[in-house]
Amino acid sequence: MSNYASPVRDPLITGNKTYSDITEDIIGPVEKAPGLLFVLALMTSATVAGIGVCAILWTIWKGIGVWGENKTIGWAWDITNFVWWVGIGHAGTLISAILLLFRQKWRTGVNRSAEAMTIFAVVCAGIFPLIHMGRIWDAMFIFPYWPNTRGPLWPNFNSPLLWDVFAISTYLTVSLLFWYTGLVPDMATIRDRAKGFRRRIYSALSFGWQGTARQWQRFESISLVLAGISTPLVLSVHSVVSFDFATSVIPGWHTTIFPPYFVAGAIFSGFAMVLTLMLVARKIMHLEDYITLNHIESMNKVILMTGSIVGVAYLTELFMAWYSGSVYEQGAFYYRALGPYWWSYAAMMTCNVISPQIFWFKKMRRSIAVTFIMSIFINIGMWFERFVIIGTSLATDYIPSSWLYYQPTWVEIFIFFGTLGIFMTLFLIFCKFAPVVAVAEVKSILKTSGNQYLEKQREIDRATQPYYEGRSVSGGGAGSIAGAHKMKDKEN
Amino acid sequence: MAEHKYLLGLYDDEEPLLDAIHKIKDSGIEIHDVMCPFPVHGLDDALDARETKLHNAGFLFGATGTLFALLAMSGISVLNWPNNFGGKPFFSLPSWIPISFELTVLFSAVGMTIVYYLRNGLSVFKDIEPLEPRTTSDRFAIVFDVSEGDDHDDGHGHAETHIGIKTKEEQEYSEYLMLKDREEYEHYLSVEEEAGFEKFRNNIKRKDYKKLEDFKDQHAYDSYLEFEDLQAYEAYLERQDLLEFEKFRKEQTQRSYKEKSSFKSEEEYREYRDLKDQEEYEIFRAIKEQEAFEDFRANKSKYIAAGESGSATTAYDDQAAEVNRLTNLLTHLGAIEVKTKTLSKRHPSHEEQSTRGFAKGTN
Repeated sequence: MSNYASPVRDPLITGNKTYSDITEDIIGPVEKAPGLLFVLALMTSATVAGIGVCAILWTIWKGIGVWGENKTIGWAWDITNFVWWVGIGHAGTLISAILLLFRQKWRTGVNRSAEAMTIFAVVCAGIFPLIHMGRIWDAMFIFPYWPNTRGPLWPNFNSPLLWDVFAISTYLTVSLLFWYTGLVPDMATIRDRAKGFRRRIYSALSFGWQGTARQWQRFESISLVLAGISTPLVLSVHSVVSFDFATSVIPGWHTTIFPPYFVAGAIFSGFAMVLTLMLVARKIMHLEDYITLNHIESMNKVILMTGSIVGVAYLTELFMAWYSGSVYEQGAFYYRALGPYWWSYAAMMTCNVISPQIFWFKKMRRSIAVTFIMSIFINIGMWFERFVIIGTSLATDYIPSSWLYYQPTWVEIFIFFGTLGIFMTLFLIFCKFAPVVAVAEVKSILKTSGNQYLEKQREIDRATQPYYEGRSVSGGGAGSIAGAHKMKDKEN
Repeated sequence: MAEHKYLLGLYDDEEPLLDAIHKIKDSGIEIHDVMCPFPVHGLDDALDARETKLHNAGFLFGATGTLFALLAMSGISVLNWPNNFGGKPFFSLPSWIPISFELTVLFSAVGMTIVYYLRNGLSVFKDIEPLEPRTTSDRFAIVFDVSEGDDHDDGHGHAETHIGIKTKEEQEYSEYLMLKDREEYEHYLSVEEEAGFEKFRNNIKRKDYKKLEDFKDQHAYDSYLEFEDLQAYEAYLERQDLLEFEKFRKEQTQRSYKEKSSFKSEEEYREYRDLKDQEEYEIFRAIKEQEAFEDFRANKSKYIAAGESGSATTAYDDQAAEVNRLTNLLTHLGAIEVKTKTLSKRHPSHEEQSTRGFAKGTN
């Protein structure tokens, strides 16, 4: 019953693939030696990452004074980058978990790399809270550890900053577990094709997986439950991140629209990043048959929707600033749009509100070039959104005498690009040593979403349905299967 | 540990696999395990596997997480170091909800994952020898345990048991039945009237007696027409079958259960074979023909000596014969390849490598 291929749906696997084709196409790149392009890309990203690490070490050595933050604008690039990275990470969990619960088969083409992206994004995100507090060697103070060596002092459980600690730690752990549990069967596929040293490595990585009926049964059970708990987790994590701002008293921060606004924005930027990575990966690794235009179109639809939600949230903020009558709120938005940071506000509005509307047009949704350019714009726009929220609100808050201008220093800029380098390095290593597409999951949807099966089902439907479009109404002669059924029923 | 030998029937598609599993289950042969490259829908039903309780573990771990979070925060904020944070009460449950939720999710995920890896027998240090490397790529395998030895130890000290069989007498009886069933089933499978027989069996299940070709013969059909309703007909059939079977059994000698050539005529053999459908077997088994069984026990030594070798307690003693039988069965059921695999002593047995059995009633 679950193998019924509805011919109305678009194929998710093209190219008339068989199970062994799927294995060859996806595991093939893992088994090949790294090519020149890969080595160059890895060296570039590792260099950038290295520069970033040096900048981080410089910060730790010299202190936060090497950054551009000041007393008025205590949070700027550091927290902007943190929220940006966490937001990007949310797409992976959404694709894996939420789309699993919604039974969207198209998730199988992109979920493995999206989850990997999540983990690497959260790793990059976690760097910022650690280094922005100054005394990173005391980092354990943020956790309520026992026995408590600091006398009666404990962290403040009422503070969203601590909620954030728990949320991000949980999110990283659960994403890692979910990703790796799903990866184990695919590692076993590589192990069974490998020899010698490679075999030993992948044998350890695959944990002795055999693919017995019982193992798969438990696998499906844990996938479903982890998906079920990851869904509220992803919604709560970014809500908790938004609480860092929403529970404060700063005008422009203290607003209840932040949780849904941040979550939608996270999904928005996350999907954009997934598209950026996938459009390149599918081209280079020849995976166009598994990450098809239908996948890309589906992701663009999500981007359109979440981008519109974000746009509505912007307008709501502006409306509430006016409607509330609070001069501080009105002031915050006046200076946001027309003050010293007007250029960042314009960038945000263009990239996030105006540009995704292009995806109302099907031709644009299915165009690779447009999608790629848009995904870059959206990521830039979402970075500016976080900067607008954080930087501009702090720059012009309650007392004009403390208004200041913030500019990032070279250290901060290098750290940010360094995290991009760390992210790309990890992602490239992932692409080389692990299957980029979830092999077992794609095989399980082959019968319902492979193009040859959908075509076959279309033919069967055409033959058996008496009122199939295009057939004459009197159809159903002795030769057709439908006719035979009808005659048999009459007899009985 | 003893060497373990396994027979694998390989398939390249899941539909013939499920079909074969259904037929093998019907015939009562015990499947050791099934291996697939991805989770196949309908496999757990075909194997009559009990559901896993992993999600219950997840729930319990999550509940532990909630409890732990609330207790820890209460202990710290109310008892250990109560502090006035913005006028909030010491026990401020609303602000503890995010952390409680996060720890619920964390405990549930971590705990369940640990249990999952333990129960599936997964470990970083485990280096297995795959029975068939292509089962993780594009082949589906039905695995039978054809190791030598009278006791198929599953590696955990539990002898394999047939479901519902407990006493020695019942074990002998089931061996007797299995022996007859398997041979006759294989013989039946190898002759041409399978299609008609299958239809007949299917029709019995569907309770559709309407058409002539669905009946064993004209005689049965005429008998049906004489009855007003289906129930009476079924009762009649039952009685007929039973009478026929009794008659048949009294006429046969023990040896006839084994070889066709011992029958007086082709007709009798066909008649005998015609009775060998599922219903009759169940009736037969349900009434437990003591006489035949006593007969069997009395002649056991002669019976065993006539066709088997080795100890008298099991039908698995002749490993080669069993391998042959299973190979024929699997080939007939659509396997594209049948291979055997012996795990060397260096590697743990498949049982130790694999999960515990999935049949209902086993651990």
